[in-house]
Amino acid sequence: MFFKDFVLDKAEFAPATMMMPSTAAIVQELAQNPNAIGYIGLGYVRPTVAVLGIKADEAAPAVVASVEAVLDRTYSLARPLFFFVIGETKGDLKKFLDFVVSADGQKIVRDLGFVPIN
Amino acid sequence: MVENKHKVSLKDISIFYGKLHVVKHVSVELPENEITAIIGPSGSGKSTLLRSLNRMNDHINGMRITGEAMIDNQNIYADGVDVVMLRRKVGMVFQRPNPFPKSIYENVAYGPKLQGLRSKAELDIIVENSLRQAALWDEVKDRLHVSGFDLSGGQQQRLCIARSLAVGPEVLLMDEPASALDPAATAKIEELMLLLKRTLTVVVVTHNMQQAARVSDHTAFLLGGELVEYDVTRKIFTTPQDKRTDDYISGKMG
Amino acid sequence: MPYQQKLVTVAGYTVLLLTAAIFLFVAAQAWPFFREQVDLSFFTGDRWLPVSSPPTFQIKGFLVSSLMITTMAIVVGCPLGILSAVSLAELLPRQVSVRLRSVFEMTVGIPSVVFGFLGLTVVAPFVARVFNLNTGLTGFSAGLVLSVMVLPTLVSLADEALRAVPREYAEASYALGATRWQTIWRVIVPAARSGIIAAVLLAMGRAIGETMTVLMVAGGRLTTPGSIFEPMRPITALIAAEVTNAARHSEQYHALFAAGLVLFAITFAVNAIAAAVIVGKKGAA
Repeated sequence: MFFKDFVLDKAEFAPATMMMPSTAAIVQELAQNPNAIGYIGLGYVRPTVAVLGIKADEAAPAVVASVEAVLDRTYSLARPLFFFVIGETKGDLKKFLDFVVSADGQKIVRDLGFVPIN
Repeated sequence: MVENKHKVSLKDISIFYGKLHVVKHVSVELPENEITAIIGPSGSGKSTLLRSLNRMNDHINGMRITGEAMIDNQNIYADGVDVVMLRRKVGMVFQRPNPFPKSIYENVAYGPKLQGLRSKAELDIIVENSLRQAALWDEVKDRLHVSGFDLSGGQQQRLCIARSLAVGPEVLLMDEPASALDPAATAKIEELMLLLKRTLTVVVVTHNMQQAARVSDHTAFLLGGELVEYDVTRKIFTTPQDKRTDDYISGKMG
Repeated sequence: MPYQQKLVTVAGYTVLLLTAAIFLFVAAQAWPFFREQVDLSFFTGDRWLPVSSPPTFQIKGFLVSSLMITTMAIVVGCPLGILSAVSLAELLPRQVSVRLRSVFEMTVGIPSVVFGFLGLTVVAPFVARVFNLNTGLTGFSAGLVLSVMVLPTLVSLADEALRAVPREYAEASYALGATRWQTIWRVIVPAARSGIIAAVLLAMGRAIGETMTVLMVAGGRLTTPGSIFEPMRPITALIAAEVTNAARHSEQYHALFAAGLVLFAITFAVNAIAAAVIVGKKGAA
């Protein structure tokens, strides 16, 4: 949905597009198929695939995705992840959410190849 | 009475299933164009002896045979004997009618087709002749293409006989061919046997002594795998030489 | 009626009722879609655009994919399966057959995701190399993997059918001077024909219904494939891939159930034909 709305501007995917059941499957197909192009999360990038730079519009420079490029907003195709909870945050739930935004939690996010919140 | 020449002659035949000694040192000569009956109680080895004549026992694991089984003066157990050729020459009819789940026509044509015969005209002739020889033609000529299973038990057995005849055997082995049939059907089979012996040598295993007495020319009495007595049928049933034969035919023994 | 017998009867009816309930549930969930659908474009059209506005739901591509992959699985699996069954029932020594049979029966328990993984990592790259394709994730690869997956069903049922042929037929054939080979192909296999056909149909039902493997291996292209060497998505994979993302009671949700109902109808028809063949055989014997 995100890709269809933001990148394709609500146009349709090409009929020949291959829909893969998982990001891992996309990575594997990209590695094996010389004509394949796909999109995946930053954390899934492996040495077996080449990462291309993208332009926000015709005039902008091409930017390759990286933690820094996302943080300084020069890389345009990024979206935040939210936690939604029902009711008050307390007890174990509060402890977990506090951990996620703590330095330790954010270090894990960075180690996995994703972009921390600061 | 002129003795016919011997078609089958067994010399000191012993058959073993593993360690079991089923047929013991049987020597006998069976005349051509006659019906020879093999009688004896259950387990006396008569079926085993019969099945050794077309080597149907070969399929049984652990079967071993010693001695000589000659048909037309050729040992059928010699090296290099083609079992396929032997079985074309020595046909067999089983205890329970066992037509294939095919049409009447295809049942009879099965043997010739195995040999590679494809010509419809030739097959038609063989099928008709075989069914005539088996006294079945008039009953089935209008429905050759219905299943063999649609026939009565007696008709099925005659179909099986026709199927054997279609490959042109010289000897026909019959393993209690009427034991699954009613008296009327049995009578027809017996009548047929008397017709068949004009052109064939027939060996029939039976536990029905009236049947042996009615149709056979010679009778062999087997007990515990041993050939107790072999003679002209009339003699076996009137003046048996061995007391055990007397006991068996007079019903004192199972 | 003794209570054990009652228990069995109740269990039997429970299974029947559950099956009926599943069918009714699927039909009920599909109904809102079919109510809106005025023409046959659902079956004949090629566009599946679930989240566009307005969305379009047409399943010809998925139907054709399912048929192609199933056909491939059966065309490759049948000769293999029937030959294996013949060797098990007629050719191999009994002790060997008994052991092989238990091995075959164990393969029924291999989860299909394992086959999918093998397809993804071994079969697809192999197919891509051999046929010089961009991607090995094609109907061909999926069909190949499925042809192996249907073997347990196919072999055990065909083997059973062959072994049920009375020995008297074989005896009669040998007594007429037939070789072992002639006896097998001219008497035993024809006598087991209806059982073998039923085995093939049940294997077909299994192939049509298989989901995980085709989701992983078939490639997931949403249009009608032009050949079996293209990526494609059968109905089962479509449902598995989208049902978790479809909002409940959305148009997409009901359309997926409609596709499920079509699949249900196809499998039901195949199994019903198989059952009829089996019953027909019993009637003839």
